[in-house]
Amino acid sequence: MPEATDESLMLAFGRGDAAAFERLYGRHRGATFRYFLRHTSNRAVADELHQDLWLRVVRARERYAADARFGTWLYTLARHRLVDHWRSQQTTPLTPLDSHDDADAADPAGVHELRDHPADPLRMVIDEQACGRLVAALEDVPAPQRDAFLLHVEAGLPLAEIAALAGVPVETIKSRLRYAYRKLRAALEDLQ
Amino acid sequence: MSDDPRFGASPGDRAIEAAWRRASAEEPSAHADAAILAAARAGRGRRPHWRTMAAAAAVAALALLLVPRTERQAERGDVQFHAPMQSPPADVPPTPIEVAPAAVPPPRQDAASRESAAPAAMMPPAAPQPAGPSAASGSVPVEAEASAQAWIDRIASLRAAGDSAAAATALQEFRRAVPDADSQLPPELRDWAAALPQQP
Repeated sequence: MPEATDESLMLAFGRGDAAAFERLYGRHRGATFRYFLRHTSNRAVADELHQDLWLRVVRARERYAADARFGTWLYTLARHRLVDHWRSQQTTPLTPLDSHDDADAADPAGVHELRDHPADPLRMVIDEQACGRLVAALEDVPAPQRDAFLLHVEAGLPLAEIAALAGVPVETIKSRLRYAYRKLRAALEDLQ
Repeated sequence: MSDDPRFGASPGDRAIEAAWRRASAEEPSAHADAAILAAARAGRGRRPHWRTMAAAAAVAALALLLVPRTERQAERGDVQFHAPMQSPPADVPPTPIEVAPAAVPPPRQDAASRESAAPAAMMPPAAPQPAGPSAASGSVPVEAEASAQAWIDRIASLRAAGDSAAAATALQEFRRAVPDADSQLPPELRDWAAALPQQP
């Protein structure tokens, strides 16, 4: 029996099936929490934003229409909540989420792929130190590139959906991802 | 992970993603999980607003203020009704509890000041003639049993109102008035009473 899709679970929840919500929440709870955590670097704030996000999902249960992937809809809400948080704190990340910056322009055509590094040293065993370095390195990545990386790797969204969500061309998302991967790669290479 | 072949395909990308997943494994707090799931089960999605919580606190405070006052009014009625049926001690003013309502200060202060200024006023009212099985058995004098129950009711209501000091004072009065007072206390008061040493 095929596993229920996110969309069908959300629709079932809209009809009053709380168990469907529990399954849906179980699938995404870690990723949404980490999405906020990596953007804020604060567990308490991430917890609050995570809770707000899912309470919004609960409130929207009857209005939800499965004309878009649930994940895309969920992270649209998440990004809005994050931006609201930054506004309320009167602090904005160094680079706003959807800005076009130098990192985007550095490789606009997407011609330099990461796969162009065949002799990759990162096949080594990555230890705890490397894990900590990765997290720290992502904090230093500008918000748009960090957001693209998190939506791609944590949330598992396809590039086209990340582009639609961010309101930028797919090539821009690719460029942002390359930038993020390069920064993380550099952080690990420093360990060697 | 995306099905886009241009990302996450190279060994380097996969290594970074694998490392990332090992590095990034935090989860939301149990509190957040519980709140979200409770909201989903209840079909609501709003956090308690601070105004709502403040209103709830105000209602609770009002209840704490009103309950002792209502009890005192009820007691006053008992005293008036049963006064002819009892003979008050010679050193106790006949009706010390009958204070004009307008002159009654806020209940908690009222209880404390009355305890210090006029301990006799804390005497529990005499209970009506009981008709329960113990009265029928005749093992305990009816008036003594009723009086003990009135003490116990008084102590319990003071504790329920959060006035622990007044409840403790009432307990000591009860102990002085009834030799085996502690043994007559209901189970829910015994542990509390046991922690309060008997005063001479």
